[in-house]
Amino acid sequence: MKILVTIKPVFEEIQMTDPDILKKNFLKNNPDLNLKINRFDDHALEEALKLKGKNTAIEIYTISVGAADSLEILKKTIGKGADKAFLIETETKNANDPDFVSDAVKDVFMENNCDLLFCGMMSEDMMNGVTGLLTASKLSIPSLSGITFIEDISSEKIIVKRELEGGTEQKAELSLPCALNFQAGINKPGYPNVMRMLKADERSIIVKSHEKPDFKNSIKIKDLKLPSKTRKGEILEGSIEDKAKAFVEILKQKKIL
Amino acid sequence: MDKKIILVCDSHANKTDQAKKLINFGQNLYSYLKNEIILVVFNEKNIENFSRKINFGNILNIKTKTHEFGDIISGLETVIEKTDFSYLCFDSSIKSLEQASYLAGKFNASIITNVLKIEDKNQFSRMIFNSKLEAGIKNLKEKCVLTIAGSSFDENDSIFSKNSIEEIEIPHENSDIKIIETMSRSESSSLDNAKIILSVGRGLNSSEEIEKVFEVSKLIPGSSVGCSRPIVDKGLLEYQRQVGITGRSVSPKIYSAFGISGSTQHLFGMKDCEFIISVNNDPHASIFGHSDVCIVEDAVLFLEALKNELEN
Ligand SMILES: Cc1cc2nc3c(=O)[nH]c(=O)nc-3n(C[C@H](O)[C@H](O)[C@H](O)COP(=O)(O)OP(=O)(O)OC[C@H]3O[C@@H](n4cnc5c(N)ncnc54)[C@H](O)[C@@H]3O)c2cc1C
Ligand SMILES: Nc1ncnc2c1ncn2[C@@H]1O[C@H](COP(=O)(O)O)[C@@H](O)[C@H]1O
Repeated sequence: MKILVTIKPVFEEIQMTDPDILKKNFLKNNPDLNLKINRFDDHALEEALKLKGKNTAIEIYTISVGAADSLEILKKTIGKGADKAFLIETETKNANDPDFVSDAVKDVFMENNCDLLFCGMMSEDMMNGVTGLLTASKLSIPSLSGITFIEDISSEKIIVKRELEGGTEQKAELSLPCALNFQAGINKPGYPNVMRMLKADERSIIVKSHEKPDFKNSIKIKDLKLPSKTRKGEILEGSIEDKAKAFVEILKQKKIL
Repeated sequence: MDKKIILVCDSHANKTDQAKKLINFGQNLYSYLKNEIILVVFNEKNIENFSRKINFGNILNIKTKTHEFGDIISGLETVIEKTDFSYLCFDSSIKSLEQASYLAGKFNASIITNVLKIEDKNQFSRMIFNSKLEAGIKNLKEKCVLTIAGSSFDENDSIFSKNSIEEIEIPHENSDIKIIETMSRSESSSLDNAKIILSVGRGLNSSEEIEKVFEVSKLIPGSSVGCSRPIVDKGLLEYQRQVGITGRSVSPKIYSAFGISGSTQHLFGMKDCEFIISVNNDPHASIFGHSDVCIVEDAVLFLEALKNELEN
């Protein structure tokens, strides 16, 4: 059985980075920010590794669609236990276009006769939440999103749990081949083994292109700006004690205290 | 054949609200494209009555055997095969994302999700980078599928006086996805009756740090402790305390967020609170744009200062 896991390289520490710096780097082909594995994808890869842990006949392939600097990220996936990795080398505008990415992933999935496609349910940068689902549609295989747990798997079908809005959970059965889009926080991704990582070479990481002369991008990312505010956002000044006093004052004004 | 704007309303609970929101969006889109709007609903029993309630007459009511993916999709495929669309619009639920992506793949359409605003002809704004930036995304294809997140679209007067309600029936399809069971985790929670919720996020790293917020909570009558999803994922607090789209929607008088970044999924659960105070050590945290009062401090140190202040 072969599992293809999509791995999007995204900036490290998005949460702590000044939005202007994100803005300057996002659409550049050689950004100055460090890359890491998209959080959701790291959890998806971990689920694949758990299955391999129980059944060594399972092969895990990883795939990134992006610039050459994605190679380091793919080496990490080899270090974590993937058997082979594919880099579809392309410009940033394509790596952020779900239409391009799903086309490229579809080809690799078919060329390698894969049985399962594991994706994150969302990329931390684009947050589309669609790329895995779109790939499944192009492959004409069933797909579900919000996966939190794999309950059982055979060569014909897989039983999973997934989570929807407002505390609703579902248990579902999908026939193979199929695509699963994983939620984050569902397992503890391990660290890459450095020896395995160092041994990754051109036999384990295959670099290809996916240039089709008639391909046109489906979207164009235009202006990037700071989000509009929905509330006033008054910033409190002064020492930390002053701010604590102000907090307590608000509680009194609002008749909480 | 003229292109149409198709709005898909696939909700059980808030069908009227969802339909109205979609119609508002459709009418805003109409002002750019002048394409006729059709609203698609499923298994509506009294369609005339529904049409009057939403004050909209161009409706297609699809009758399906079940409400599962396979049946909904074959209904939509039947519609799309006879109706050329420019835009096909859904809400932003996970199930809608699944349907939207499926159809975008089948009909060679582009897909833009979680749309907040229409910026221009064929250009839409949406959040990226965990809501740290807003991006304008231009659709470059002839057909485009959208999922709508925003709810504040201008209400236009109904443009279509024409009343054309149609119904079609779809035979049952066996799907290769079988839903075995649907479970609900929505038991009651101390958050439901709280006057103030003190909510913690990934800015607090350990149970020792989270203990600080309970110490403060003890000093504020009517308060309860909430949290963001990663705190539940890490097993630091129980699910009943999770605020957000996959957790609870809360509406205390005051919501106070400690070390929470302000992702759209979290905001969904607390945006209707009367007053929001946020504490974050990143002056650019997106939650500050959705707060009444912003405190740029280390959350743990601030909780200690707050505790001292309350004890005095
Ligand atoms: C389908 C789906 C459903 C989801 N449902 C939910 C949901 O219901 N609820 C939910 O919350 N999330 C949900 N999420 C997850 C959501 O996308 C975010 O990942 C999550 O809300 C982030 O939580 P956070 O703000 O605690 O963490 P982060 O985004 O990591 O933010 C941590 C914040 O803490 C600040 N910080 C760090 N250190 C300190 C310090 N010492 N002092 C003060 N501040 C500090 C940082 O600046 C940052 O702003 C969902 C995601 C998906 C895809
Ligand atoms: N450029 C890419 N390379 C590899 N995987 C990707 C890429 N873009 C998206 N994905 C995968 O698709 C998932 C959903 O991404 P998105 O639709 O952008 O939210 C991600 O979690 C990744 O697993």
